[in-house]
Amino acid sequence: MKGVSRDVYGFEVKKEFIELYSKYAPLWEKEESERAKRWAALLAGQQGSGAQSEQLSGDNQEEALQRLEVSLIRCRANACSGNLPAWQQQLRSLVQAGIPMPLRGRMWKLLLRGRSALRRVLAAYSRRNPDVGYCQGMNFVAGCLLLFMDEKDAFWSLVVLVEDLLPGYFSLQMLAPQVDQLVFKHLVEASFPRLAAHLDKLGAHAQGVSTQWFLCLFVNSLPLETCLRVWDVFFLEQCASILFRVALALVDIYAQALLATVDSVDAFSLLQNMAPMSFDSSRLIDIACIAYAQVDAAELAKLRGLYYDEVKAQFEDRGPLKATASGPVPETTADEGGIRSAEPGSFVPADGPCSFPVEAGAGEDASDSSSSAASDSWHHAAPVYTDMTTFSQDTLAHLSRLSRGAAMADAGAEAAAPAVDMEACKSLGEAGMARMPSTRSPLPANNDADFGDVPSGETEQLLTLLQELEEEVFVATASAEKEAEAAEALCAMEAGLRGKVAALREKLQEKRQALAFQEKVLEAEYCAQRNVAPFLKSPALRKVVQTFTNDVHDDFGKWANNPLVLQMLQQAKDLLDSGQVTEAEMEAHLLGQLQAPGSDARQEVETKLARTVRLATDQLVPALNEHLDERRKGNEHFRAGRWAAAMGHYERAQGIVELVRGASPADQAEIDRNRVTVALNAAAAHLALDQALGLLHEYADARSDLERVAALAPPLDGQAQQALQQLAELQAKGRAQERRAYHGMFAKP
Amino acid sequence: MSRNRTSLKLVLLGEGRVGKTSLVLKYCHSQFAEEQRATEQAAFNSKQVTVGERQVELSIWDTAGQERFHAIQPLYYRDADAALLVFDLTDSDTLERVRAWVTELQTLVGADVVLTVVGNKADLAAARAVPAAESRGVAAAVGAAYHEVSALTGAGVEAAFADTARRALARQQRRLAAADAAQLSASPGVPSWAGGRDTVSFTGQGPTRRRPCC
Repeated sequence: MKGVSRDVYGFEVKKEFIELYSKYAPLWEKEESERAKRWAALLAGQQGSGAQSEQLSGDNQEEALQRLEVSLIRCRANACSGNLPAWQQQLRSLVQAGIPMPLRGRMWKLLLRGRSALRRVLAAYSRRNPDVGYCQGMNFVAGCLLLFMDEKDAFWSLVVLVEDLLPGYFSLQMLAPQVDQLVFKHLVEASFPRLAAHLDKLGAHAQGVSTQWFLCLFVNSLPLETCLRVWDVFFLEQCASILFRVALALVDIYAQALLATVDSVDAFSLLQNMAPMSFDSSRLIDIACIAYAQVDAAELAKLRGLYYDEVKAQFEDRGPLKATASGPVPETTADEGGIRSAEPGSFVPADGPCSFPVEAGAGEDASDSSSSAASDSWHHAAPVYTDMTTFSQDTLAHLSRLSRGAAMADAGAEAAAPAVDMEACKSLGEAGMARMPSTRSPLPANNDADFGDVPSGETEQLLTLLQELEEEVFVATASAEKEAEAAEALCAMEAGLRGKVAALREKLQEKRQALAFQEKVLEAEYCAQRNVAPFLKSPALRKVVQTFTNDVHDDFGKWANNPLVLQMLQQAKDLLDSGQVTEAEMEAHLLGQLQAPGSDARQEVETKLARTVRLATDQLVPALNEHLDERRKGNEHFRAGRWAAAMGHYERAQGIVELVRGASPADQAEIDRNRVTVALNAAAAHLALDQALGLLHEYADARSDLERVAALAPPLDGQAQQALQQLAELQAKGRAQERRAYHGMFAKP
Repeated sequence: MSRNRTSLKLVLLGEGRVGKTSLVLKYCHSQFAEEQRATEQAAFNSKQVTVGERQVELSIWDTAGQERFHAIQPLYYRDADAALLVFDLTDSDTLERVRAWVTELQTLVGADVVLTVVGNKADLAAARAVPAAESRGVAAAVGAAYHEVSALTGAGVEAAFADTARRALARQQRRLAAADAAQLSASPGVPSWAGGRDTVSFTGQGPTRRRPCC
């Protein structure tokens, strides 16, 4: 394409940013030359020869870099040496100001080096878990690395990035990004309470875009120049906290603009665009590293620990996307399966080499292990993508060869000098551990802790059962390892066991609710207790009484002492006692009433219950007046064209007349007249609403209103019948219109 | 509540490489890229449309199709008004994934979420692997509308989005109506007058008859 502007790395500059880019490009150039000078001075100092020439010759520079590496390793290993901290400080400020382009690749390599033993282990682990595979987003990270280093180096840098610096980020469960979403939400709320409230009000949220930033390490969101500056610091610190700091700095810079947004569309557009607009890389990094310095590794670990359990529990609740019959078939083989037993009862989730806080906690409780194992084995069937269209197929092929072969080759080559390496890496490994305190912290809270308030007998029973299940799973696992065919059976078994555990949990949940209810009743005053006591024997009616505890003011007595309510309950009980209605029927009716407004069950119950509120004339009058009030309000709204509001009033008016029964035929006739009228009103409102919205074929509501009228008042049904007929005509017209609109669009089946 | 500027949230879901991003780009920007790269996480787009007589702003969230991203998708579809479930007409496996999404959506968003099943790549007629009857059957089974489109030629794209927006708007109106109703009745199930004398507006007059307003 003609006229495409490209940056120094060869990437296209979007046309809306060309102006900004051309403003900053000279600035960057200037910065780059200043940077080059500062670094040359550093390297000259490293060389220690006293040669203060600013431009080092190639050989000298190589030598200086090697010395730099030694200093770096000593620095990392915390080896005591007089001026190291000062040197470290100097390096830090230099890196923060950006690494010069000619040195960038080598510096990254230096900064990431010295982890080979750790790398060997991780590579071996990733070979054992090929199902971690490829994750969308990794292509950008790898591609960016390849801009500055050869493939082997880039591959290993990627290994470090994915498995060590961002553990759990590209895993199958993707728990880490979810945790970090919440962590970032927390940080935004803490740092910008007003902005957070504003965004919340609009229904927008910064974490909607932050996950993308983190997953790709800002490649593709920040301008590359800015992005690389983030990477410089990221590799120096080797902790994701810099990502959070940069994200906070972005929000900081655009806080005023974000506060000025008026709806979610504006807000999301700005949130999504603020990273690509951040050409002022130095400003961003300065704000990130200075203003948000408090968001360091320790703080991040603390916050992640705070939200990990929540995310994990949610994940287990939701479970994986349900696989369909012809969908991916879970396969669990001894080699690649989701579970691998280290020792009886402790499973290691096959989720990659995750040192993400507490994720790799061995000895999670049994149900936890079995469920995560089951979901892993399901996830295992996830397709492994190789659609890194941004990069050439050759590079891809080369990379995949590397990932298969390089681990072995590298292990062999480096085995020659294991002693030195191991020593350096041991200390490095410890330094890494120190950055993730939660790997040392106690294991995640036992998931069964929430059963604490269940009688201990129940808990014990459950625990025994869980233990049995665990053993079954273990035995099943062992056999599956021997025979590949058993894998399928194991899957089914696991699913069964999971179901059992779920059922048990559900039962316990019910029990707990029942106990809470019991407590509530016992707390209530004496006369309320006495009133409801007779109804507690029937399970169906007990559920009704249980709903009294949902009172918004927590006023159980208000309902339990209400004569009308008691009267209804008594009559329902009489129905049950006389055998007219069975327990199950009553419960089904009540349930139907709750779950499906407008359903047959509800109407039936309404009719049955309606007989239970037979009112004397003096009681009926106020009720009907209230009904009339509602209907009048509805009529006003209707005339003003506010059909939705009118509908609300009509439904309430209907609620009243559908509930009462007259004591005399005259009273009843009056009620019936009102029932018909309000149902016709409701039908009209439904019809108007649907028509206004152009819903030509969605007259279902209006239709059911009219049909109810026709059924309920045969002598008065003339009007309803007529309306129904009109409705049918409208419907036919609508369908014809639709047919015309879509004519010829689809192939004939 | 301001009803002048209505906004609806649409989310595109479906297997990777079925063409979700291409659909959104075609619809929002009339663009098509031969080598659209994979979406990581989710991308936000918006478009102004007219539904009936109403101006509606569509927020369109395009999500990553790779299966593992499923874990972080709820952030985008939890409060969605409608979902376009996209599959590839030349790949019958992608239709299976649609069923799974429906279950997931209806659990998290509610049974009345507006669904549209969209079969993409209709231009590749020779490679077609999913007969219209089958996909229409899947759509009907989950209560979704069905559209066949081509993000390349643009055929049907406008109609698929417009139809979804129209139904999503209707759903939103129904929900508003329901919310109005819920606000009016303080204690659901039992009208306020049944709760005790103090809540009855007793006027002392007998019920008077009124003609319905229609």
